[in-house]
Amino acid sequence: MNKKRLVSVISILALVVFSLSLFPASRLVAAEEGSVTRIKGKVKAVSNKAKTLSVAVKGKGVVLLKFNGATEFVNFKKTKEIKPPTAVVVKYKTVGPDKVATYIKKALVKLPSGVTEIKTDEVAALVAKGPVAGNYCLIDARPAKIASAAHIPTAISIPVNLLKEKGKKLLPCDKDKLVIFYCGGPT
Amino acid sequence: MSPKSAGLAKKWGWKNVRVYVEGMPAWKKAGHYTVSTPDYVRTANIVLIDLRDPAAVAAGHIPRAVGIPAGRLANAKDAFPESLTAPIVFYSDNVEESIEAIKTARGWRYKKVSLLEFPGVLEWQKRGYDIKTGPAAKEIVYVRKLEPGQISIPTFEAALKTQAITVIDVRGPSEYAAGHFPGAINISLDELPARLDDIPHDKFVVVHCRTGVRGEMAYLLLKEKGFDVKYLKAGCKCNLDGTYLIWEL
Repeated sequence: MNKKRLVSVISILALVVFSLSLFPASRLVAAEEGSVTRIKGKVKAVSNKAKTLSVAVKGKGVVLLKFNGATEFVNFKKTKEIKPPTAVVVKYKTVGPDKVATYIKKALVKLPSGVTEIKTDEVAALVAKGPVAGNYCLIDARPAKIASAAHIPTAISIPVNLLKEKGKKLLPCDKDKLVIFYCGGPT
Repeated sequence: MSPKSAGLAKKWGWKNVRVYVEGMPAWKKAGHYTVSTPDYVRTANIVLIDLRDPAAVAAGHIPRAVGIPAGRLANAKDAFPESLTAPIVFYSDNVEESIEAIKTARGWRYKKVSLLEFPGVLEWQKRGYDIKTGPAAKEIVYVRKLEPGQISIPTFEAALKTQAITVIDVRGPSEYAAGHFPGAINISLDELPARLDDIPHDKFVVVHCRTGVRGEMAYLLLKEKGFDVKYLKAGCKCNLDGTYLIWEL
């Protein structure tokens, strides 16, 4: 390495160290205090009395959040509309020891294009006929353990993760037949 | 979950794909019945009821079933567990009387009531599962399995009497003022993150509220902060004179 380059490397390093010293740790903490964090997860519990909700975030565990009159509710009005395990997006500020939600959005279900919704009465009419006469195939997309405890009569359990992993050979009926998927509600 | 599966089916060429978006909660709310798999019935912590008459039951029934003939069910409420979250599964040869039994148990406010996936013990045997002959059990024995972090009601009551635990009441101050467990410290859930230093470390900590909802949130927080802690998942009513009532929910 020639001498000139060594000098320039050292001077750049010095510049970096100097500029870091302009941002002391206390400033970084202050920035965290005021800044907004956004999380996505499923509601675990809500207490209106304590104005607190807990949200399970993948890979992060459960986050305890406060809400108040200033918290913006999107896609719902009352907290009873976000019963567990509703999927939500929350923005919050850290105030002292608390995480205070400024924004809670209830995630809405988006159906893939070409897929339509079916309502309870129509499902019930089909189930009453049975899969042969009703010419349908009903699939429970929830985890197998949950589906085994209680599922809709005539439903077949194919958890969504298994379907992703094993592919289309798991689907039990031919491509012209009506296939209905369901799970634990719009979460 | 279901929209994702539907998207895959559509992508793979299935032509008529629909999603029952409202799903399981709406199905139950509309009063329709649900069914359980034989493996669940064989292995899960449930109350299993054989609705057939005693002669049919004696000829062969699913092991650990309790025999309550359909005609006598309406008067048998007291035989059922205190816990309304106890899963109850009925079976019989007769689908109508099974569906009627579901309505009866749901009417008693049990939240998890279902039928065996197929009617009859013949089908059960055909699938290679064991049956038992002779009279079935007469009494329902159900012990709720504790979830992680929960303390049982008897353990809590015993520890309360011996003062072996620190009880943190995470209800609001007005709820606490209307009656609380002897020796309980009141730190409402919303104050808890700021008042961790008010919790003594010398004893095991048990948090509670009125139903266990706030208690569980407090438990999660305290566990994360390194406390030895459990929570009470039960209904509680404390009176001003120090008496109290705790019940299974």
